Amino acid sequence: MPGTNWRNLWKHVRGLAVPVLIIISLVAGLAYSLYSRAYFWQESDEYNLREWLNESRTFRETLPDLVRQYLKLQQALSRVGNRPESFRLQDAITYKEEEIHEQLKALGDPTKIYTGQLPLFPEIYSIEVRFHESRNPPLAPIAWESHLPHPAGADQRRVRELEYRLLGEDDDRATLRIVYQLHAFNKRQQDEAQQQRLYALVTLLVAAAAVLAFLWIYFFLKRERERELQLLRTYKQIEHAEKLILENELRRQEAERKQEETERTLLEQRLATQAAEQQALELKSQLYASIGIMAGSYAHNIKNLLVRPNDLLGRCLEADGLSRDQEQMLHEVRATLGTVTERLQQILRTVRRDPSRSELSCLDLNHVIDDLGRTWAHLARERWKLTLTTKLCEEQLWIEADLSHLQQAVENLLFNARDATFEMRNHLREQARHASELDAHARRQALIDAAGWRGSIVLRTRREGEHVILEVQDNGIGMSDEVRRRCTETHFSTKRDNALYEGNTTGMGLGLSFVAVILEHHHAQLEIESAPLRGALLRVRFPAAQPASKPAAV
Amino acid sequence: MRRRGIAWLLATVSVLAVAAFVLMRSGLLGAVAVARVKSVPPGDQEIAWIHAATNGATWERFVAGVHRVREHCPHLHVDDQNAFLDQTAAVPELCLSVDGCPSKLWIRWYKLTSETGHEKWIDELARRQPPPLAIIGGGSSDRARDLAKALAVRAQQWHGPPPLFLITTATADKVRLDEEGDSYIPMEQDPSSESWRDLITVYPDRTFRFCFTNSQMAEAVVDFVWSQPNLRPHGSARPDGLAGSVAGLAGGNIWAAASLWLAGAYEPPAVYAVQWVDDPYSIDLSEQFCRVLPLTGKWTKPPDIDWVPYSVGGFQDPNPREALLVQRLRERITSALVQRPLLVLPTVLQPARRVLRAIALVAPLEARHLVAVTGDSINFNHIYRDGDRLWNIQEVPVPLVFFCHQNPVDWPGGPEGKPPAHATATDDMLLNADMMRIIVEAAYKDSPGARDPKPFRQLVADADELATRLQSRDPPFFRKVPADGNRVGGSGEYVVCLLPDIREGEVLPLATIEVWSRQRQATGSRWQRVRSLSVSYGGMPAAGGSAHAGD
Repeated sequence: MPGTNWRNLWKHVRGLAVPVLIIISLVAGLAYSLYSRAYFWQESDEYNLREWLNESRTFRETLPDLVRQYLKLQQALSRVGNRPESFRLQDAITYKEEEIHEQLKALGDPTKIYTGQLPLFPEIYSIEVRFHESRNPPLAPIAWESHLPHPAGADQRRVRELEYRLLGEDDDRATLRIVYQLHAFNKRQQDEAQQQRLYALVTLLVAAAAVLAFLWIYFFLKRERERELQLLRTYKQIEHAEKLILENELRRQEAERKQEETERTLLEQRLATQAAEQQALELKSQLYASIGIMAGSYAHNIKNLLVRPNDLLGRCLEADGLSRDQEQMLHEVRATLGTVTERLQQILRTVRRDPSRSELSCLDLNHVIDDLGRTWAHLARERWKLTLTTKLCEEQLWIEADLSHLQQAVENLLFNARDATFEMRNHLREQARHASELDAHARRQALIDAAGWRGSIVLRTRREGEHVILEVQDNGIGMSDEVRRRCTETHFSTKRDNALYEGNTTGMGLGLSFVAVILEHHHAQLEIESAPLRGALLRVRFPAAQPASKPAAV
Repeated sequence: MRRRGIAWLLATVSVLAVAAFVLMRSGLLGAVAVARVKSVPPGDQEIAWIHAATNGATWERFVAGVHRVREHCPHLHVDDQNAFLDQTAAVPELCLSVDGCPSKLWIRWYKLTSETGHEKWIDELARRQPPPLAIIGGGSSDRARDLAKALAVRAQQWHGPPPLFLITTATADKVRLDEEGDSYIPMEQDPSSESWRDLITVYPDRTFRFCFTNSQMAEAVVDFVWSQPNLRPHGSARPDGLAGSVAGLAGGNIWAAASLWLAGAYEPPAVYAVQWVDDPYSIDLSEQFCRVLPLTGKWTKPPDIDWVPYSVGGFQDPNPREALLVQRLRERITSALVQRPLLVLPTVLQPARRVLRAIALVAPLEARHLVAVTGDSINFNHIYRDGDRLWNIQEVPVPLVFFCHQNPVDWPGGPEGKPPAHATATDDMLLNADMMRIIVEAAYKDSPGARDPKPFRQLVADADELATRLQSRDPPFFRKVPADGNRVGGSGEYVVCLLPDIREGEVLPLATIEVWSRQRQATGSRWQRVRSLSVSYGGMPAAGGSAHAGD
């Protein structure tokens, strides 16, 4: 495009303007110095002549002084006009003219005496002072002529003229013109003529060198510029390749991220499924508990209701007149009622959960815990994804306890431990998901590790002096001091607002409070050791019972 | 961007530097200021020596005179390493110091040129702090007048007491103060007392003159001429009077002449005086001669005063106005052939030589009868060292008497010593030495409170103090009555007399130079010959055997 070409050209010109200006300036300065130096003799001669003409004092005044006085008198005369004093001024002007002429003559005459004999004595042909005052008539010049014959022919070139402002560079009222010949054998001129040729050659060489330098700079810059452009192109290609690599990497990372997201979603779905299953299980448990309570209640009512029929039946049997069949039928009824009562009694013993109405008996704690472990071991392994371990003391550990309450209390402790492991697993998963310091791979590995993390619950018994110790230990989320202090309060729960238990029957704040009530009735003490993320150890300290006590049927 | 800006700046500076160089070389930026005074270091003082730039020889004699002061002041040190510089446009300087005083006294030559006059230097000096203690100048009466006028006009412009004006060799008693253009008027045509003033009072109370005045010179020269029988003017017998046989009596016997005059047969000697009216020295000296003659009882005809409007002229020939003067004088002296008239030529060397030479040409016989007298404007060396060219006795065969402020033959070896091969202006140097001795003694004072037995010298604080010390000098150098700043006269004057050798009507290329000194004695003053020198011209051996001059 033409516009682009002009712009490129202007860009080149602008870029080269600085070195070109510097080179031109230096060459011009050098050329001027050499030129001035080559004509130094002429300049020197003129300075000498001017000093001689300006500073010579034939009497006491210099020529410029005399001319100044002359012009002053002329001005005074023009001011006076035709008044009487003009005659005196006219005389003074005449004298001053003569004086100036005499001064010129005194300067020129001695040079005439030795004309052609003394080299470097100027041969003066004329000296003339011209005036430039705007007057009418104009002031006549004052001149001195030597009457020496001017050189003829080619010799005329030796005659020089010098004209300058006599009263200073700023005063143009008078100029002095002198025609002279100064040198007879000007060796200096000859030398300088030779020097001029040398200087011209030097100037030419410098100019040529400057042009060559300029061209060299131009081509150097051009070559450097092309190299730089090539380098820039290479850099650009490298940059492009790096960009592609980076984009691929980003795409790969995006795919990994999506895969992780999918896995995370799957994991969450699995957890949600587990939670739903757990909720269903607990609902079932609660349903069973409710059914048991209701059944107990009914059984109790039925048992109470059976008291009157038994009483009536006894009376009927005690009454006379019953036929044998009747009596036999009544005995069968009585036996059946007795069986029903017995069955109700068993149902009541089975389903009655009211801690305040415990029926203590001497129990082997090891036996109870062992049964309980076996009961929940399978579920714990398969559903809860944790390891339930029982570590029992080898000796029998007799305590006074209500079997049903004890079982429920221990189950509550077990469930609490289970929930703590759930929270711990959830915590680990969240931690892995939000670990910004980990790269994708490490994060995924952390998520997988969190998902594969297994909880652990240990039921441990032992004797400790007069006490029988039951310890339920887990590696779950643990408790803060505040939670540890308040966990036995009724309706205190850390699970109520937790999404993990949403929809479950847990989170009512009744489990540990129930346990506390049960243990209170058993004169047992509950000790809790825990810290956040460090699991929990719940220790129940039962008073040991006498081994002679009759063990309760289980 | 930043690098490009620096490159442009560099280019601009280069172009401007080259342009400025070219402009300066071509003179388009104007001339460099020439008048630039030097600064004075703190505690030091300066004396400005203002003279023409062409007075290099005068400055040399001044420096030699300052060195000679050391004969009287051994504690004085003269540093003249900057007294003679390579650059003639620079300001040469001398640095004086004395033992025990840290302050120095600088003497600097500010050169007068066609571009830089008195006013410019005075203006520049007035701007500087401190002002100079004094200004030495006035090599001639017109320059002294101009300097005094410039100082008087600017008396209020100094940063401190105005400087003193120390006159070297300007001898005029009275000068005319009006404009230069009106100076073509002799005193007799303009007797206005307002125009003519004593030079010493132009810059009143601060001017001191170290040379003799015109009146002192005229009185001394007249006194000397009348004391010498071979020079004393005499009249002549009237042609219609007594016989010329008694005319010779008038040469040596005033009573005989008086008796002849009374008899109506004797005419008193004529006195011809010339005034170059562009030179106040000339006018004043002429007037002083005319005034002194009757005052000292010298019996002459009333002086016949003529005048020339200007002094400018060539080496040989008189200028047009001098030529007219010569015509007039020729007519007068030829009418008094047998007299010895007195010709008063109060001017510098060249006009005097031009006029005398022209008279000798037009009236060779009559000229030999003249006795030419003048003041100090003709130098001893003009007739002695350079006499072959400047004052060839065969061209100007006229007895000449002139005045010197000091002994011009005070050469090494004493009165009988051999003349030096290269005679210098000894009288000028001695005058400078005298002047500087007096200035140094006044400028450096002893500290009255000094406990050190060696005097602690202190430089005067300002010009007022220097003036007081000059006036109170003991013995006085400047006269007390009137206490006007002029020096004391009556002794110490020197007169030089050049006598051509004329035998049998022929002027030989031989002459005698006599140097006389006036000595004050109890009975009055009397003239004593200091030295007599024989000189020859044109290569002829002198009487003493030397080529040009000898005892």
